[in-house]
Amino acid sequence: MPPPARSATLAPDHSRDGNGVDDEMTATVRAAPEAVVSAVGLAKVYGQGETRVTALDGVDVAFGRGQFTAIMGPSGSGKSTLLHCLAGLDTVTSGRALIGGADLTSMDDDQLTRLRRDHIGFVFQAFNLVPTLTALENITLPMDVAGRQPDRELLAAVVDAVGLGDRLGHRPVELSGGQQQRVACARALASGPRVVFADEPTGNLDSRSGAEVLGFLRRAADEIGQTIVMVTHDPTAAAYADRVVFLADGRVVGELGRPTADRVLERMKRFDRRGS
Amino acid sequence: MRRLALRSLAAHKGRLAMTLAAVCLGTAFVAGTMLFSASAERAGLDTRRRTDVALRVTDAGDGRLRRSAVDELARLPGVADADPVVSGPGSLLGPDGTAVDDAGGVTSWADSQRFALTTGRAPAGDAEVALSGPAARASGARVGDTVRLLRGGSRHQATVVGVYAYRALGDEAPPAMAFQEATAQRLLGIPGQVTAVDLVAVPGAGPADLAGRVQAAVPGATVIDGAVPGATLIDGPAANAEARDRRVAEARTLRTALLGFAAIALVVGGFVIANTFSMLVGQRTRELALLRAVGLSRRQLRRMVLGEAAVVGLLGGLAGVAVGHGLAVPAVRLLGDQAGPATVAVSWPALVAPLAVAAGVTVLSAWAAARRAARTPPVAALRGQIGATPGDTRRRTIAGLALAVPGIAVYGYAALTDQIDEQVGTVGLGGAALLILAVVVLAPGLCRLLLRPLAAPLARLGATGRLAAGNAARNPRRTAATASALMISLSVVTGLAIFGHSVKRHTVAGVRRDVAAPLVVQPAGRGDAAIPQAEVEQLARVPGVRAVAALRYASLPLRAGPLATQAPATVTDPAALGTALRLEMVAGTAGDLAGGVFVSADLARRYGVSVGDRLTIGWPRGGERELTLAGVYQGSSLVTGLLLPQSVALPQLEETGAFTALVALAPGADEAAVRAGLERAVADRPGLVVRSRAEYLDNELRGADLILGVLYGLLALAVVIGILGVVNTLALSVVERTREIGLLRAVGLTRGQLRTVVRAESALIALVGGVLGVAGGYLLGAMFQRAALRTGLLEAAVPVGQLALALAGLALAGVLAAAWPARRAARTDVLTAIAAE
Ligand SMILES: Nc1ncnc2c1ncn2[C@@H]1O[C@H](COP(=O)(O)OP(=O)(O)O)[C@@H](O)[C@H]1O
Ligand SMILES: [Mg+2]
Repeated sequence: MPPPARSATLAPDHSRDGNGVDDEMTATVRAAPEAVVSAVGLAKVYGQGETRVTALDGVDVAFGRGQFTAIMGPSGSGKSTLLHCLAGLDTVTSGRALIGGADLTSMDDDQLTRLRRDHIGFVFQAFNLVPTLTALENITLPMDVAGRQPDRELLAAVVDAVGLGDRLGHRPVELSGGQQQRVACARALASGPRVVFADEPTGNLDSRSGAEVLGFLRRAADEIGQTIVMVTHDPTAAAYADRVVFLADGRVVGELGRPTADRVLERMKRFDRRGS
Repeated sequence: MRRLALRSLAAHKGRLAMTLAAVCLGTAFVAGTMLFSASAERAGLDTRRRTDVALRVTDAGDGRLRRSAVDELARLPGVADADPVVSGPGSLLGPDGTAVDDAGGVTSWADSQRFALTTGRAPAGDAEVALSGPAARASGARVGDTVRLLRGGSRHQATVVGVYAYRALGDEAPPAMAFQEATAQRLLGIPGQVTAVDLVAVPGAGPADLAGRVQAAVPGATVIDGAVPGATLIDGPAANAEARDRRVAEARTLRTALLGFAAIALVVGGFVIANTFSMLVGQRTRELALLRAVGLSRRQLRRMVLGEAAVVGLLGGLAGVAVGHGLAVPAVRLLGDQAGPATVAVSWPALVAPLAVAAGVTVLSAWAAARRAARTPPVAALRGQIGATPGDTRRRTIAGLALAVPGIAVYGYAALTDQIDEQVGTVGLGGAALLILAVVVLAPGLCRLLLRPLAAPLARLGATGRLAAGNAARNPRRTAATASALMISLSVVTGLAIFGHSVKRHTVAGVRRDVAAPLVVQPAGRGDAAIPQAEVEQLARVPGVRAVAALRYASLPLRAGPLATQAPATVTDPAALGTALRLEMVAGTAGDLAGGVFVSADLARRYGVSVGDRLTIGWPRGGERELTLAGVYQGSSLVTGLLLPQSVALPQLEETGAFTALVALAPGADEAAVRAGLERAVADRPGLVVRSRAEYLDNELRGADLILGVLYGLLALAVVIGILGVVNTLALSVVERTREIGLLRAVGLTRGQLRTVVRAESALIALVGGVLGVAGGYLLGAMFQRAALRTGLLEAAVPVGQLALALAGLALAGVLAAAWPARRAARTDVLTAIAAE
C-alpha cells in the first residue's frame, strides 16, 4: 500500500500534526476525555488445562469520542479477541467491557444483540454483505431489522460517500471487493452507532481499494465525528488513524499519537527486537 | 474409492438423515404392500375348502329340493355319499338386540367335511346351535350362553353348544349358525326340503361322470362351472379352483393399486434425494476439485457419488423393509379376522425387490448430482468459489416445452371432444401427466414467477421478510426441486378432492332431480338383505302412503331387430312414476310405462331404437316376452337401461328383493305420521331403516367420503415425504449459510428474527409447491370427473374452501418443518460462523 494520498478529501488530515507527543510505553490508559468505549482489566482465556490460552491478559484501554484508533500487534497478540469482546460478540473471562457506560459483561444474548444492532457498527475482513440483498438494502439492514427509520440526512451523506452511484441497487456479487468493503463501512456507519469496529477491513484488498476504504473511514471520523476502532497489521493503514495502540501477548504495550507509517514501522521493529 | 465414498458418507451422515427417512418411508410402502398382498394371496391359496364334494346339486327354480331326492341321488352309480344341505338367511343378534355385522346365515349341521368343531359339541336338541368362529367372536357368545336370532321377522332363542370352523365349497359364504337339519328346515320355513345335495364320488369317478348320471336321472339339469347363480350342478373342484383364483386375482389387483400409491411416494422421495445430493455436491466443490487435482478421473468421481447414493439407498431400504414388515403384520391380522386364517408370508422377492427399488431410485435420483460432481474443474480447488454453475436454462426450457406442447394438445382434445368415455378420459389424464411433468421441468422459472407475488406480503414483515424471500429465490433450482416434490403429491390429492367433490355434487343433483318421495326405506347396511316384495306391499298399505317405487335391478337378454345383447334393466311400479320417482322423458310420457318398456336415451342411441319399436326381452328362468318401446328417458341416478313395469317382470326375476323403496305420500298426509307408520311396519326387520330424503342423500354421500378418506390416507405419506424434503432443504441451506447467519447475528438480528426468516422461507417454498400442485391437481381432477361422469371439463366442482384450507395447512406445515432448521440457525455461534472459511 502506498503512503496515504494527500488529496483534499481522502487523505488523513495530519495538518494538526505538531510535534506529536510520544507517550511511549504507557501501560496505563491515557485519560481520554469522554471515553465511549473502554476495557477495564479485561481478560479472556480460551480452553482449559493444557490447551489453555490467555488471549487477553488484563487490558485497560479507552477510546474517546470521535477518535479513530488503530490497534496493532503481531499475529496472535489478541487484537481480534479484544475487538470481539468490546463488541459483545464474545464473552469475557474477567474484567469489564463498557460502551457508553453500559457494562457488556452483565448482558444476556438478546441485550447484546440489540446493543450491536443499535449502537455498534461492524466491518469484517471479508464476507460482510448478505448476498440476497442489494447494496442499499445491506446498508439499511440493521435499521430494517430494528424496524427503525434511518436518519435521512446521515444516510444520504453516508451513501453519497460510498461513491457507488447507480450501483446501489446491485447485489454484492456484482460489486468489486473494494466496493463491497465500502458498502460494509456504510452499513456500519448509517445507523449512527456509538462506535464502529473494523477487523482488518483492508486485509483482502489491493492497495488502491484499501486506500479508498481507509479514506472513507477517515472522513467519517472527521466529518461526522464517528468513533472508530480498527485492527490492522499494516503500518500504512494505521497511519490513517489518530492514534495507535500496540498489543503483544494480550497486553497493551504501547501507544502512538498522530502516527505516520514510518513511525509505526519503526515502533514495531523496536517491539520485534525486544521480543526476540 | 470405496473408502472415499464411505468416509464422505460418514462425514455427512447428519445431513443425510432426511434422505434416509424419505427412502425408508417409500420403501416401507412398497415392502408393506408386497408382504400384505403376498400374504393375502397365500391366504387365498391356503384357505381350506371342501375337497370331498365332486358335485353339488341345487335347484334352479325356487332353490329347493325334495328331501327324498337325497336318497335317489345317493343310489346313483358312482355316488359314494349324498349329504343334504339346508341353508338360508337369518341374523344372529348381539346382546343389545341388534343384528351382529357379518354374522348371518343358518345352515344344517352334518358330520361332514363342512364342519370342524373347535370347542363344544354338535347341536343335538331343537334349541341348540353351534356358531362359526367369527360369529362367536363378533357376538361375544360362548358355549353355554343363550343367543337370539332373527329369521323371517320372528325371533328365536337357542343355547350355544359348540363353535366350529367352516370349510366352504367355492365362494360359499360361511354360515354363522348351524342347527339340527329339522330345526334348520323349520326356521327357514321349508319342512321336508333341502337347498342342496353334496355328492361324494366313489374312487375313480369324477364330477363329469356324476354330472352325466344326474342329468340322465333328472331331465333338464345343466352343469355350469363354479357358483354362478342359476346353476343346477356345481362342479366342486372347479368351484374351489375358481374361488382360489378369484382371491389370488383380488390380492394382485390390490397390490397393483397400492404399488401405484407407493410409486407416487417414491417419485416424491426421488426429488428429496436428488436435492440432497445436489446440495452436498455443491458444498463439497473444493473437496471434489482437490480429488480431481490429485488425479481422480471424472468417472471415478461420478462413481464415488453414485456409490454413496447406493449405500444410502440400501440403508434406507433396509429400514424401510423392516418398517413395511411391521405395518404388514397388523394388516394381515385384520385380514385373518375377516377372511379366514392368514399369516404374513415372508418371501425373498418381497424383501429383495423393495431393497432393489430403494437402491435404484436413490442412484437414479443422484445421477444428475454425480454428473455435476464429475464436471468439477480441478482449479476450483484453488479458486475455492462455490461452484454454483448457472446451469443450462435453455435446455430446460426446450425440454419443458417439448413436454408441454403434446400435453396441451392431448388434454385439449380430450377436454373438447363430445365423445367422452374411459379411453378418451385416459388419454386426457395422460395429457395432464405430461403437463405436470412439464411444470416440474420448468419449475425453476415458474418458481421465480410465483415467488414474486407470494413474497409480496412478506415484505410487510420488514427486513426478515425480505431476507426470507431472498433466500427462497436465490437458488431457484433448489426451491423448485423442493416445491416439485410437494407439488406432485399435492396434485394427486387435489385431483382426488376435485373428483370427489364433483361426484358428490353429481349425487346431490341426481337425488334432487330423481327422488320425488319424501321417505325412503332401505336395507341399513351393505350386508343387509334386500326388501322382499311382500314387505314392499306391506309398506304400500301403511296409511298415508300414495305409492311405493321399489327398485330392482337385473341384467336381461335383449333382442330388437338384428340386435342381440345383454342389457341392464330396472323394474318398478309404473304407478309410482312422477310421485315417488321422477323421470325426465325424452320421448313418450311417464304414464305409458304400464303398457310397454322404456329405454334410457343413452341406450336408445347406442342400440338405434326408438318409440314404437318391438323389443324382445329374455327371462333368466327361460321364456321371453315381446314389448313395445313406449318411452325414452333422460339419464337418471336411480334408473338404468331398460325400465320394465313390475307386473310384467317381477314374476320372472330371480332376485326379487329391492334395495331402495321410495315412498310417496298421499295428498295432505303428515310426513311424521307416515314415517312412524313405516317404522312400525319394518319394526321386526332390523335390517331395514326408514330415511328421509335428506338422510338418504347423506347416506349416499357417506360411501363416497369413506373411499375418499382411505385414498387421502394413502396419499398422506407422499405429502409427508414432500414436507421432509422441505426440512431437508432448509437444514442443508442453513449449514451452507453459516457465515451469512453469523453476519446477520453480528449486525443485530435476534435469534427470534432469525427463526422467523427460516420459517418464512419454508412457508414460501411450501406455498409455491402448493399453488403449483393445486393447478396440476385441477387438470387431473377436472379430466377425471369428466371421464367418469361424462360431463364438461369446466363442470368440475372445485372445493375452494377445502383447497384454501389445504394451502393454509401446507404453509403451516412449512412453518413447522422449519422448526428444526430454524433452531439450528438460531444456535449458530457468531464468532465460529465468522471464522468459518
Ligand atoms: N476460539 C478460540 N479458541 C482458542 N484459542 C483462541 C480462540 N480464538 C483465539 N484464540 C487464541 O487467542 C490468541 C489471540 O487470538 P486473536 O485475538 O485472534 O489474535 P490476533 O487477532 O491478534 O491475531 C491466539 O493465541 C489464538 O490462538
Ligand atoms: Mg485477528
